[in-house]
Amino acid sequence: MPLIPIIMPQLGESIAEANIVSYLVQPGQEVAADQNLIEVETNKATMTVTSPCTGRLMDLTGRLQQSYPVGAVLGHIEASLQEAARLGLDVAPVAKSGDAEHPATPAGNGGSHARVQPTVRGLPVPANARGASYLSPRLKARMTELGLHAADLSGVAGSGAAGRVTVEDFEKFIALLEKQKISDASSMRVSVADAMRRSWTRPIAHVGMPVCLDPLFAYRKVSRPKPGPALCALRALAVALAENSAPAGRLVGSKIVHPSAIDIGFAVEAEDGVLVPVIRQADKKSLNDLVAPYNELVALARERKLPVNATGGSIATVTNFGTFGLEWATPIPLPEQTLVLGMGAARHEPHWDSVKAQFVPIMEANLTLSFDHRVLDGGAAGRLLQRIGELMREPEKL
Amino acid sequence: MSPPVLEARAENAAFRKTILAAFRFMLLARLLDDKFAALYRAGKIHGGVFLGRGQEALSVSIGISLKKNDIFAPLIRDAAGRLAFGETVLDAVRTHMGSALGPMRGRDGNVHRGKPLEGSLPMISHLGAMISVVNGMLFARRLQNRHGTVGAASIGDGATSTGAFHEALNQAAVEKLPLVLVVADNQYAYSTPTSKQFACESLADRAIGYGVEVQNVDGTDLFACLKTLGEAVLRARHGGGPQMVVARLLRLCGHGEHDTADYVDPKLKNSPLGRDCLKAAEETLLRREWLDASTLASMRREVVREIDETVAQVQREPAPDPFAENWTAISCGHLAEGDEGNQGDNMPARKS
Ligand SMILES: Cc1ncc(C[n+]2csc(CCOP(=O)(O)OP(=O)(O)O)c2C)c(N)n1
Repeated sequence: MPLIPIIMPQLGESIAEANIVSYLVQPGQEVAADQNLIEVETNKATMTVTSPCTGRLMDLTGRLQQSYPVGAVLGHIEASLQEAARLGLDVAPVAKSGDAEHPATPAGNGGSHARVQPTVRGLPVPANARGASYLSPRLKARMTELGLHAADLSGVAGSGAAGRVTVEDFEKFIALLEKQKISDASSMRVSVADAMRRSWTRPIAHVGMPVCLDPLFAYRKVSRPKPGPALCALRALAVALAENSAPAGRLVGSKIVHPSAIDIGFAVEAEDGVLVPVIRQADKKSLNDLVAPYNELVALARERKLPVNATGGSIATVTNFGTFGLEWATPIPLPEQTLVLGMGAARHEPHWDSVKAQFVPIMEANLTLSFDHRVLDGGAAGRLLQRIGELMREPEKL
Repeated sequence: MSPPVLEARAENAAFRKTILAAFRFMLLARLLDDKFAALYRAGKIHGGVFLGRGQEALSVSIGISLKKNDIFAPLIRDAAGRLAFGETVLDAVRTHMGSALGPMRGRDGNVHRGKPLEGSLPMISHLGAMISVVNGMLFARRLQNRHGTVGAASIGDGATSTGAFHEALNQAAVEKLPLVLVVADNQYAYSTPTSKQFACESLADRAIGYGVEVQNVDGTDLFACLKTLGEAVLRARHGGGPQMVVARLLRLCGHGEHDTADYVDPKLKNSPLGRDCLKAAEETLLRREWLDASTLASMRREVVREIDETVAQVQREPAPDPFAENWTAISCGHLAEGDEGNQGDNMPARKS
């Protein structure tokens, strides 16, 4: 005789799961259609699950005080063939169901049928996007309590309706983490994480190109003081933005907010994070005049002694990832900035010299420009980067 | 001219017929609502289920007082009024269970069903939005020189706090539209008690402020509701301008089936407002001997069978196919460009 599944109903719009409180009937008993079978509790109320048809209760597979997602099978009713056919009921797949060794899957166990079953067979159900794409108010509250963000849940595949992460999933995830070694993230780490998470809400794109550093190295031989490649890039960026500051504008609603001063920051690695000291009005001083204040800021940053007015308020940042021996990177701009200019490690490269008709060795490094694609496109970013490269080829004019 | 006694007797017979018909619709609405509640808790209904338990006497009185070409904008607690206005049990069940053969073809929420071309409007929102829609239709009819029809709109006490309610009521008054606005003052707007909703003595005061004729009625009394609604509809039909009826009663269920309503004051439940209108009507009919126990029992059996068979039928029906569905608006699909094939109401989905 056909076995009709008893399923966890959706007891409210935001409800993804409910706890089994008590059983109102026992297996073996005859039940009528619409009869109350199971008492369940959501975070909002206690309600009952009713019988989908008349028949004999075969089994109740859920465990008491255990939470099950909407759509989970909680037991079966054996109905007559006529009753099942007359009501057009969904029949459970034979064998496994009703097997005491295979209890229903509680929420959080990744039950594969954990979604709302269609009313009329074949009714489309919500797309099964697993993970924390939707957070119920209850889960949100719990996460706020623990100071967690949606990004912290990226590793959890939900078992609730449409794959959403249920509170049970969440608690299991937390319990699992507690079995591993846990240490506090430094306040620096937390603030970088926060900045990056906020920045990542925007579409970030990247362009890059190599720039020849031979002119700079030649200039360093004769110049006093001796500016490095990163500062040269910073000054070139400042000059380029002084010519046209639009690419460093910020998009807020339907307005572009233009920079009011060419204050450029640069990233300095400091214990477990990054600090960004700022050179104010970098367009107003020559490259050579920038060397002393730059070096001073680097030293202060490394000691984490930057004065308050030496950080914040910059319109773009330069990051010299070349110091880690890297040739390429795709940095992310600070959340309040549109641009970050990256500088790779210098290395010898063959360059085709058309006069000599042969390859000659040159020193080259990659320049990258990462930008908020809402504000500018590849063309504008490319032109800005070309201009920076051009300026860097004549350091004596910087 | 017939002698007054005979006239009274004939009137009495007609009234008796109306009352019995109304009572049957109330019973049908109550048992249909109960069925929806059970199906919801068996996981068989998608979306919310909203019941009209305790409001059937008022609701049925609207539906039964209207005529074929009138307009009715029911709300979420109007199962009884809908049935009395001509909705079939089949259409109600098909919409709740998402059948492709239903009037909304399985596309719309359970309470958002109707057949606008037949004057029954699918609700937009429970909170005051429908009054101006009815006003608009009544206006259109006036411009088309169609007279003698009325439009009724249901509303809850909570909705009388919305701007839409005030704007529409004022508009109906200024334009003297044949609108009948029925307020079910059921003591709660979801969980908000009326004390947090208005400070006037009765919601009827609001109508007076706009120059609209208004009656108060005991919403638990089928006889009183039928009389008051019947008269209000008649006045509107014969050029008396907009009419408002305020019925006091208690919602005998949650806001929806997801709500256990434990915020309802027990004192209210035990007060005259908490009286079950269906039981009260049944008792009166038995006492007056307009109905006997065995007729009542067979009426109940008939109603249960109708609901049961309809649910069984609908559970065997096909679900909508989003790829084959013609997604233009159901009632005015014929207005869509390049869609001459869709002639409006209840056209089947486009064959792919
Ligand atoms: C603008 C708006 N706010 C809130 C809601 C949610 N809502 C739907 S019905 C309702 C309560 C309505 O109360 P009332 O008008 O008294 O009608 P009743 O439910 O008592 O029949 C609420 C808050 C909504 N649909 N629209």
